[in-house]
Amino acid sequence: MSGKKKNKHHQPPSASDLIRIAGEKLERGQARDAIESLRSAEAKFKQSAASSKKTSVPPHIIAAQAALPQLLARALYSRSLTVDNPVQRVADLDEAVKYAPEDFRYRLARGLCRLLIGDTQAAQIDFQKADQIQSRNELVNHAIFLGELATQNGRGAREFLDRSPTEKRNANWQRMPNPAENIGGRYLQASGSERRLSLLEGMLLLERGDHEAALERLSNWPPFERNPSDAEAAIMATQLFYSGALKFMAERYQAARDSFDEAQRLASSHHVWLPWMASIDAYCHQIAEKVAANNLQLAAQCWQTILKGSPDDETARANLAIANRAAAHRLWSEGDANGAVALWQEALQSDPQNESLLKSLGLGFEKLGRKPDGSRHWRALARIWRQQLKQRSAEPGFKDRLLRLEQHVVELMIETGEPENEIITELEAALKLDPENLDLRWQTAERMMEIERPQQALRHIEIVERRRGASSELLTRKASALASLRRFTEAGKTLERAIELDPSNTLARRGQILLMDEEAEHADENGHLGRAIEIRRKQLAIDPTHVPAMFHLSSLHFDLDQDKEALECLKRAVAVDPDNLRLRLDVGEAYLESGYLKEAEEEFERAIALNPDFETLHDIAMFYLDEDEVKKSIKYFDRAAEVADADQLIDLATHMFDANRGKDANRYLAKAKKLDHTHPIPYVIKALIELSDPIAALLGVENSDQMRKDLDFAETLALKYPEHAKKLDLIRELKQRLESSLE
Amino acid sequence: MASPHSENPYKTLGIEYGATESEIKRAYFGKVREHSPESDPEGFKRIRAAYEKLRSSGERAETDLFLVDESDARLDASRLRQFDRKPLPLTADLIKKDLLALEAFLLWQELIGPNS
Repeated sequence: MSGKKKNKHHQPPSASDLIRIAGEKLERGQARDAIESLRSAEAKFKQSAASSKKTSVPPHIIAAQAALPQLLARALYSRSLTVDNPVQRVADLDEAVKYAPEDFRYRLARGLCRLLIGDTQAAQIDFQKADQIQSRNELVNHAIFLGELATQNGRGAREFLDRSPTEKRNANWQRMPNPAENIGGRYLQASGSERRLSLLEGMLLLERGDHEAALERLSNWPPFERNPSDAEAAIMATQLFYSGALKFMAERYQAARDSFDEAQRLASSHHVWLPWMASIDAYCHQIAEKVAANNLQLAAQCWQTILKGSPDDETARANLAIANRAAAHRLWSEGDANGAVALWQEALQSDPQNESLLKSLGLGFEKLGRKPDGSRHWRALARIWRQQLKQRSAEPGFKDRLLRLEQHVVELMIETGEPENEIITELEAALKLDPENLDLRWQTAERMMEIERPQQALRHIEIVERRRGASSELLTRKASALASLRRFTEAGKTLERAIELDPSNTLARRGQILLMDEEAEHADENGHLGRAIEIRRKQLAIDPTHVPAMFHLSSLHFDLDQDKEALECLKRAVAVDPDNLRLRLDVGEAYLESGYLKEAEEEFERAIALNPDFETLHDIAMFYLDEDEVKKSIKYFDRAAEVADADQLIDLATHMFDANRGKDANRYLAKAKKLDHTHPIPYVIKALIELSDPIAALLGVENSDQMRKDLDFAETLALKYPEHAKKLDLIRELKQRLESSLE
Repeated sequence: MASPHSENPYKTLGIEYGATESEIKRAYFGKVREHSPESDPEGFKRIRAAYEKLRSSGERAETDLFLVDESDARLDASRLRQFDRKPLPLTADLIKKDLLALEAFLLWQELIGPNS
């Protein structure tokens, strides 16, 4: 090793490192990775051999180079064990033999694989070569015997048997009982395996033409009591295949298919590959063709079996899709929507653009109540139909169906709450292909208004207007878009036109009123009080019951010191709906704010007469409090207190505390405690009142102990009574603040 | 929305999915003769309802859109693809080859050992 330290992070591994790594990987069963490392090492050796001058090569490198072929052969052999297909296996073994020509195992393995795929001459050559390398090996002898049989050399096989001492033969085979007996050659009779024996006997009977006896021999084998080995699985799978073939010949198609399916399953689960496996597809296709008309289920099973072994079989896939669709239709007719949808989904996988399937799935999912899934399929269909509109425009009813589909898609998307922009995308895509569709355009305009895109909405409305002419409904919608764009004057004129066309258009009239609300407020904000009054009067001329106009008008009149007019407006307001509690309160408040105390009180008493509950009395008290009419407010708070519960009393106490009326607050707190002795908040408010007591502060009286006691007690209550547990954080925060303020 | 085929107006009138307007009319009148309002009021109602679903282009579009495609109702064998291979006959030669292949596989299993 050179004196230099190798920094593994910066230098690529050397060839000998790669060989060492490969060896480790091979021990761990990572044959593919080992091969990669070894090939890299091989390349490095070649490179250095090509480029190096005549310098001496260290011994360890020489050793590594010498070990490489064996290691690579071993890795290739290991990899060959992991592939199922013998053709691929042979490719790996070819290389293994190349790198380690004197290892008989690789030749033997390759010969056996060649025998499997029918390359019998080449197989026999391999066996003979293996025998030359390792003579008198039991396995090799067995293989040579097979090779003689495979190459139709019965005589050679017999001679070989005679040459081979019995004790050297593999324990699993014996001499043939009768050389004349022949299945196109000779074969071995096994010992020690009942299944193998049965299989051989069954196949012998089959070869002789005794199908009935053969079927009997090959049927009804007992299942394995444990997981079979690969060898046992191969025997059983072969038995199943032949049993299936016999059943096929006897026209017992279901049984045949079941046997083939089991044979395939067993073989693939044990990584067995045998030549008869290639026949399963042909048998299953045959069965399917024979039974499809009368037994669709069996035909579908056959195609499924084929696809398990040959997923690329397009014939099976296409036929299965057709069968599934027929089965789906039958299920749908019988009311089994779930079953039908499952089969349609499967069919759609291999034909995702199929219109019939998309439609069926749209219908099916809707029937199952899965509207979002239904919507997805309908939308896919709509996309396809839109693309086809040009070439199918002459097809009777196509455009009508497309239009109906688009309507349905949009309705469904709205129903399932899909994003508005996606709904609009759907509408606009439809509109692109059918720009003359005014219904669609109108629908688009409405959706645009829903998502507050009045500019785009207006564009569509105007197109409809130009093409179809103005209607009262259209103009009302247009006015709404214009108002959203703050083009009030145009909006107003548009509404006037709408009303002209249809005086009974209540929506238009309503729109006018609302527009005037905006205009009047806008004028007021800009100080144009006269203009605002004018608008409000105009409003009331249109709708004499529009209370907001009356209120605003009254406020405007008050601002202009036109009290008489203002009061008239308020009287007019309550006359509209005299039993409206909220209205009475609002009018009372308006009177109060303008200084008309008597009138205010009269309205409040009328409101109380309508509903003397806590909220009404509380609101009235607050009106007075806001106007600094404290005595009056307490009068109504006291009345509210008579009908209040504990929480409401605490609310009143809080108002009194905020208004620096500690004594009144304490009255309400006392009542609250009486109603609910578990409530902690009265003690909290009491503590706050004590903290803010100005007289105590003036006299320097220390209230802190009492405050602490009150808060501690509040905390105890909150801990003790779960219904008040949520208040604990507040109490603790106040305690902290109290301590900080006292410091 | 249209439901399973018991309410299929095409089936009720005994016509195919792509029937023309005149075919629909003819079928309707034919059915009405068989199920007149006097002799079979319920039947007549059904036939009339079926006709209403198909008589105008708008109604027909709605009906056609919400009906499952009837073409799948019967498996049409002519639509099935044929496989281009037949299974090999079980000749003595084939059986022998399969046996030898099995033996080769079993021998290979012995070669690679039980833990492979």
